[in-house]
Amino acid sequence: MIDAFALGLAEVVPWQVILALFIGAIAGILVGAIPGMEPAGAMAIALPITLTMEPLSGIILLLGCYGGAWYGGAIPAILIGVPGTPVNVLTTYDGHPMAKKGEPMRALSLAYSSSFVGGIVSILALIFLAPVMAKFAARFGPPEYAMVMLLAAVSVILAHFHNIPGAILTFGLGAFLGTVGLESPHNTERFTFDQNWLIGGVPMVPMVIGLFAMSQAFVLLETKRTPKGPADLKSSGRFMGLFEVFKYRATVARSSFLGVVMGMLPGVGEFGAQFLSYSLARRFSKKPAEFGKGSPEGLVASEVSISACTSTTLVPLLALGIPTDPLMAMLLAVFMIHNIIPGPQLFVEHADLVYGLYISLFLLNIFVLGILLVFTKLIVRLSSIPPRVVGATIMVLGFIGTYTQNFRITDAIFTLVFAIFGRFMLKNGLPAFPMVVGLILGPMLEVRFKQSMSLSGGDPTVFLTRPLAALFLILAVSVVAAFVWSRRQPAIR
Amino acid sequence: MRPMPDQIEETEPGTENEVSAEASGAATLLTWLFALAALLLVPLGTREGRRDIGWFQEPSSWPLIVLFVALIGGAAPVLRLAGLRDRPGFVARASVAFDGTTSSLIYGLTFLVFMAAIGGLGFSFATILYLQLLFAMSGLRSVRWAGIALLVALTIIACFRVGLGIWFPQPGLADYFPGSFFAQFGEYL
Repeated sequence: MIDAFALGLAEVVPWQVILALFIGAIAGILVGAIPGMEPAGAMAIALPITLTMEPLSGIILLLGCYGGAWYGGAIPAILIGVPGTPVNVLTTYDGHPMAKKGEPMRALSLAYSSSFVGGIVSILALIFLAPVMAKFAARFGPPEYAMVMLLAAVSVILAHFHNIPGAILTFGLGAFLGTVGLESPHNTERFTFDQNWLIGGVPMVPMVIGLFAMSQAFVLLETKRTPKGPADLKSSGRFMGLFEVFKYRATVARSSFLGVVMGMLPGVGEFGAQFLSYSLARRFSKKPAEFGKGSPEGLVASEVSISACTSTTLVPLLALGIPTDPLMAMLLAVFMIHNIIPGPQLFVEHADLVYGLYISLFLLNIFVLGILLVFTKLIVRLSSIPPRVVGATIMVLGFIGTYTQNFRITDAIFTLVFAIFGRFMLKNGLPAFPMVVGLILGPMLEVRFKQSMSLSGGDPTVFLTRPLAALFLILAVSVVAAFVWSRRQPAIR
Repeated sequence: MRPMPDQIEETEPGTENEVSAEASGAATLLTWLFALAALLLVPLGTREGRRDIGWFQEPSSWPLIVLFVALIGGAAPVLRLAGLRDRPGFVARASVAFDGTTSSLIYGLTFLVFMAAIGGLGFSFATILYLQLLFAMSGLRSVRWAGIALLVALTIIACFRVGLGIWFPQPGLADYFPGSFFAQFGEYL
């Protein structure tokens, strides 16, 4: 372990990695601090650039965009009551009232330190859990992988409990779009209709940019109201709330645990963790009436749980090689371009990279916290950039992100189609996230399903006769059954 | 007072406003019809496998499976929509689903024009003009906003075209300038 740690340290030392850490941290904070930018879209725009970098630099730049955004998203949530990213919605509940009461710096530093604590716990959980899961996954064959992916798909769909039929529909459509192009084993073309540009299939990056960045740009271009910046933000009291987080040890522990566990569940992640964490914090608090009116404990519960998810979302990718959301699929792309295959062998063949990643994640959290503490006043100004300016900028950046992936104009047309459809989905409450997961998981599930069936000579009971595969299948069925049962309870009462 | 998280039931994160059952149903119906059209396309869009190695290896099997799942799983709101037809104001409420689509299409059209302009004018000129157009279309019309749009464009050009050196094919504009000009400045256009 010490040897691996030393090797990892050597991976982090080059200036390119440190620079990527800085740029990632700053980009993430900006994405979060400017309402309307989504981490997924920002990562997709940055992806083509990261593909040309060394693997660790590329990965850490993307993770910076992702993790830094949750920190930065707290700034507009607290100061102007507008969540910087959709995930920061509960931060507005208590952070904004605290700011209105004349304690903006206390609220900001409390949010930063809460995110920091959550982020560090998440990294420790990743270090502990990923190798354990990788050892477990070493026994997996195609049926086990197929059933894990099925469980992931079920988890993603159930996470959209407000519109399950919509989630199934968009997941299925995403999986269908994943079938476009060349298939194996027959090597025939599917749904290409003799168009060469479709042989490679429907690309993920244009879909992500279209659904999460450009569709949002359409909305922003129509938003006439400009968020009003905070009137007065004194630098004094900058460190006031920094250590206050430790006053709420039980809340920190509970929210960290929920964040760590839910971060590993596909599709559940930050939203599920923060809603549950906030509700439980209120239930167990000595002052529940203060929640929603400027409770520091509420702010801690929300921010800790969000950041506690960030590193554990990597566990399924690193240990199993399964990207359970678009962000992880983009990281997988960086791994693959460098011929690094995530999964159980990663911890043996690329221990230096894995430990380098752990160390980088620690450094990333420290960099983000440092940048925020020093430059908060400067960053705050970005929160009041008119949404129309942000929207127009995203339109151009969206094109750059799409085009530089393959230098094909057709990819930009894909982006446009998904942007228009994404705007339509956003408007009408149809979830876009399952569509991207369908595009990513669908083809992987197809391959594993075919392999499993071939192994068994076409006998579908292979998923029941292999103990681990059966266990995952039973888990998937149980999760659905428990969900249906829990939804029926209020109706019965 | 706003509801606490455990009182929030039916809101998709990121959804703009509250959505009526009619609008949500209409949107789901359209998506459902798209999935149905895809299902009908399966025989045309796939070919038979070259040899018989099991039904599960057939090129059409997986698309059929996922589309069936999508159609069956997504059918409930479509059926519910049919039940809402007799409500007064049904059409008006359902058509709300398409609000904003026209502006999306218009912005989409400008995006196509931008892509075409890159081929003709080069990335830098096209970006400058496109941002001016987007600012003006969104209502940011004054000398100050034109200046800000130019500044944003120049920053993007400096970062991506000059800094990262992103490649673009030689624009049509190159034909009207002497070769020496493009040898020197072509990489910035």
